[in-house]
Amino acid sequence: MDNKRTFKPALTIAASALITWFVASGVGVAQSRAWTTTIGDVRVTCPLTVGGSFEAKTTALAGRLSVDPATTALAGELSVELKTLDTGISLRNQHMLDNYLEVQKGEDFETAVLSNIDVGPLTTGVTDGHSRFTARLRLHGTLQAVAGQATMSERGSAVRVEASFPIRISDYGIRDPRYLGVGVKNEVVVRVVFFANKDS
Amino acid sequence: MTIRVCFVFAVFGLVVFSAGRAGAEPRFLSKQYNRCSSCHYSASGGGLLTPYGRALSGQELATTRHVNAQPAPEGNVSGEDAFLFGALGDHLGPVQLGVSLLPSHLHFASGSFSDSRNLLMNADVEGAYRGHGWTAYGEAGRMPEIGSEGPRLYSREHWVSYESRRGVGIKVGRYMPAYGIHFADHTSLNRSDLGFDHDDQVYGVEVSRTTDQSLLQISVSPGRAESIVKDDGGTSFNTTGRLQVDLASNVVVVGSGLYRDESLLESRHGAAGGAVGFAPWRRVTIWTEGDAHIRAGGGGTSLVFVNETAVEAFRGVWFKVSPQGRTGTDLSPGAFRWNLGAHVLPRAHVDLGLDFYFDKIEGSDKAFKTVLAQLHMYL
Repeated sequence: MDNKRTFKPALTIAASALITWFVASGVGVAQSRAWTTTIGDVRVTCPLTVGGSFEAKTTALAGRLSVDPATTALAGELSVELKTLDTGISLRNQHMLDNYLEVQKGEDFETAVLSNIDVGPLTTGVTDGHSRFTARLRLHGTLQAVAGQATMSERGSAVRVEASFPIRISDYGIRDPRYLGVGVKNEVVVRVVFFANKDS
Repeated sequence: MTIRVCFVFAVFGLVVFSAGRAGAEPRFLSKQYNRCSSCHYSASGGGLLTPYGRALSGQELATTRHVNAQPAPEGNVSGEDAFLFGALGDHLGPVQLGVSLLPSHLHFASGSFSDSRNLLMNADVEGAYRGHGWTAYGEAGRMPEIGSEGPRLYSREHWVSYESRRGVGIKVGRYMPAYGIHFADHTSLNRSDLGFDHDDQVYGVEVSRTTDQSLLQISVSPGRAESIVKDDGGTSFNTTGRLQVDLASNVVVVGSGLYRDESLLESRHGAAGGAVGFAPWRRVTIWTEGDAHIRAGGGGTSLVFVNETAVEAFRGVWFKVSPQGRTGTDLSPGAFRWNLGAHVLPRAHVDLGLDFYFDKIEGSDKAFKTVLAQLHMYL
């Protein structure tokens, strides 16, 4: 329940990684240097200490990325409004946002931001494929490096990106999510699916 | 009353609607609860609620209550959600208690025959202690009058379990073996017809392995508990296995197997089946289970099918429709049931239920209709 905060950052990271990969791919290099996310779906899978798991979901993924010729990292960032995370029940949502993600503490806590997205060899122009990426995720006011896998495929004039990566809640200064004997394990997995359109 | 109606009554009537344990609620898959162990001490569901389950009942499931963002400082459930509305404070320490009361009204009819009666289906006290991986669990209550047997003190479940940090567990005692989907309605054909009704607990040992995505439970037993206690000739070795795989937080598949050896009362038999649970939307849960029930000694094989689709129309207001069926064999006719139900949870631990059952027996032109109204109070 309290993992919603973790979920949001993870989503942001995943989205960022995906966009980066897309931008770095051939589509971005050949035709455009900037891309904007459109449809997005972020899901953070939170395993429970008693077995099973739940997901925190949001579609509030936004951002714009562009290729920096001087580096393999993408300029720009992707962000997720953490208040939009939904775990399916209000009890989990409220505890996650208020007690663990602490979104009331200010701007750095309200959003999860993925930046410095680096997809390495993909910047040389591949539009379909699979790649490892690295990025930096700011969550709960804490900036940490993340790494994961992304898959990209062309869909008309857009690119569909799907990425996933694990994050550890404790790395972001989020206290152990636990309520009346039921808790979320420290490692959660973020999965992001989004479409990116090139900027005209 | 004709012989046929008498038979139908025996199968679907008062006997099967007698006392039942506080039920598990697989419909909460729509709220992303794919395991029973979040809210119940038993991984198979039902029975005493954990503190988390108590809090969830009040703050998330009840129509007229809302989330308390700040739990009690000591981390224990308190107030209306707690045992006896918190009258005992924290005097119980790590011990959790619950009282389950289930006054009910039952009306049934077939053709020109009908009858009604009021029942106190449950009047149980349940208790548990959990710490350092260990759980000690027990419940005791009043077994209502059934047939020629008068009411008596009874304990359906009492067991001790241990689960390691790696998710390996063992349970010893009297418990309901895990098989298929543990619907709250113990008369569901996947429970009553396969021998997982309200009084079908076993004395045995269960080993389990739980991970983030799966739960495996294997039970071995010298026999059904009531047969062992009463020495009624029904004692025989039996074993069950159940594997649940969580494909997602809202998608679950289950495979189960059962073997019961021959006893003086029953021929050797077994069952195998699969189930799928799916919550396509946050207020809708669909469970479907299919089983093959195989009986030696010329008993043949019957197929059992149960579906339950539950919809939360408004917070704490649930409707369900459950078609169920069983194919016939040379020894028993086939049957088909429609079960329509409505449940309202106005406050913490109060469940008002109204169910309608329409049963048709193969070879009979008469239907058996049952209306069951229940007030489940979980104090």
